[in-house]
Amino acid sequence: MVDSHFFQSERDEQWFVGLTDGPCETQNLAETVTDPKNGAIAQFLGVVRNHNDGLSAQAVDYDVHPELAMKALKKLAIELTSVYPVRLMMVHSRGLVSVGEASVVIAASSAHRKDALSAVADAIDLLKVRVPIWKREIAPDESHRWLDGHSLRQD
Amino acid sequence: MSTVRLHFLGVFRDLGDEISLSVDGPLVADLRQSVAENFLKLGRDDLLLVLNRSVFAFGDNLLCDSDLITSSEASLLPPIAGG
Repeated sequence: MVDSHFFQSERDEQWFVGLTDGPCETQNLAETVTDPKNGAIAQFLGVVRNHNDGLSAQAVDYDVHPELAMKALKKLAIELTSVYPVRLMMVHSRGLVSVGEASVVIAASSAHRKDALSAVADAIDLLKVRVPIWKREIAPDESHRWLDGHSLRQD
Repeated sequence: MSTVRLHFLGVFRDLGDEISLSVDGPLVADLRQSVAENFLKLGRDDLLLVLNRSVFAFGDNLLCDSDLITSSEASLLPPIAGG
């Protein structure tokens, strides 16, 4: 996985975060976090499904505020790599992602499995409530609806 | 009275990518009021509840309603739904 796949990305020794147009690449995820010191690699792929709330879907169009999303992803990566001794990568899609394609990929490696598994679980939970991204679900008849989510308002 | 160019995201994009609004006051709360009045003018009362759960970003900073408007350009962020 190389930085040119992303319209925005940033890396540190311990983490990599990026935003990509269209579906996320799901091959060679492990390479991104491989470290000879680490014996465990955990991965999560968020994939577009063909139904939601009892309605059929054929794709999701992701809207992103790139500047704020990168800031939130970077902050989350720094936070998680300070809590867990892991190498971490998080990538999210912008634009159209069809059923079966990945809209978010997360991978972490650690010396032992628990830290990698916990880091990946926390990463997806926190990404969903912190990173400014929106979903427009597209039905088979091309009608669409924006999905509700988590408010960032704090006052 | 100032003018703010407001970028729409998420569900608000159904109204277009951006709008210029006159704001009568120095606070983010005043901008929120202007947006609400605009939605009413457009007959989009349905967006008022979402607006109430939305936040304004100036550059890469999220501001509260009690904060001062810091720029003539802002983004309106509805509740997020990534993943």
